[in-house]
Amino acid sequence: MNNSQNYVIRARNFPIKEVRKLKEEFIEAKPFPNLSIKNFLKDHKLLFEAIKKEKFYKKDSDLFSFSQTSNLFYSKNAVIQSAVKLFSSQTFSSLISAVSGIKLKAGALDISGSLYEKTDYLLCHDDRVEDRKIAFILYLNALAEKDGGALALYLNKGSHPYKKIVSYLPAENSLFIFQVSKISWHEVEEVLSNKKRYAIGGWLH
Amino acid sequence: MINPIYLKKEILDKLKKEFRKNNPKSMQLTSFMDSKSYTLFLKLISNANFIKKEVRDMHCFFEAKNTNLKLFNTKEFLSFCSALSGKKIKKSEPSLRMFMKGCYTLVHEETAKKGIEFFFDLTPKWNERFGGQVTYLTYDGSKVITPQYPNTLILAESGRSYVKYVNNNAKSEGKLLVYGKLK
Repeated sequence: MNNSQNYVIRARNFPIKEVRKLKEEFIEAKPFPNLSIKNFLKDHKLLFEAIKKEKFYKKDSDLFSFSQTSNLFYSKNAVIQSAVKLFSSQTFSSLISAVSGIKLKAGALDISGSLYEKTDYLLCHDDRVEDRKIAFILYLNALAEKDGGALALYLNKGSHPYKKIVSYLPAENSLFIFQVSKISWHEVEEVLSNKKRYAIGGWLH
Repeated sequence: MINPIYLKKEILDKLKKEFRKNNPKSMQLTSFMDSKSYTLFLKLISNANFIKKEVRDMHCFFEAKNTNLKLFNTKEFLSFCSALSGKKIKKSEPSLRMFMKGCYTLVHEETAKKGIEFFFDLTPKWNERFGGQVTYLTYDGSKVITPQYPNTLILAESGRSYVKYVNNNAKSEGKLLVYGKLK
């Protein structure tokens, strides 16, 4: 396609049988409801190329060091606009509602691109801000164990994270979702190699 | 123990003014101990045994057990901190901490209570690329990153300090600090 206005980012189809299976996986996942949906987009490579062209701003605090785009709602890139449209759609929120069993508002999301480079990290936190219900991360490229950058999920003990029990390496075009709650302790482990970790993420309310 | 230069009245008066002027109220003093005391102190702690202290959403570091940190409860040290900060200080609660790769402290609502605290840096060689910087958040939203030198005291009136995550560039290097709340 030569005309960028024609780009349409689409999710693949999810038959009812698969949705039921995903729901079971989500509910039964430890240490808190979470799920990885493989091959989520039909055309993720377009989005990957588009996100790499966005401007990333370095963010640094006690808790993290990584780079982030502005809210992608304001991106002028047609491919990204199309992805934002997908993630704000009734279809997307209905799918995530069906999988999680949580009532969600269509279009009520924050969405941005993230880039983790060597030595970047995001320490353990629970994501609870305002009325976030589901966090989602679409990984646009894969990392191997030697690269670091895994998403680690922690079991809680009282009001604190206690023990890492799941370590999820970014897999290309996989959508990871989890329920935001007082026990949704997770972190992005330090990136150890020169491989860049690109993702799009946000929250559904 | 304290470098005699910092005990001179005219110097101390100048430091007090600067302490109050800084945001947060703070002062960083290089070559804080006289060289003889510093060498003796390093020898005193050279056999320290460290155990890991970890609460993932608050801190992760190694703390020395049964280490002699009496220096930080001497009349000389407490009086100096009182004079500099303008607060009456009766005692300190020092702890010797080692920050290896993967270590950090966070500003946490449970611990972010305003008070006088100090960091005493004992790390002979440290590369800024490793992280580990003692950093203060100010109430206007900015942050103050302190330069890192051995034998340096940072005294501050703040509960919003943290030690930046030490990254894998540090390999087997460790950052050694005495941290203490002053009461």
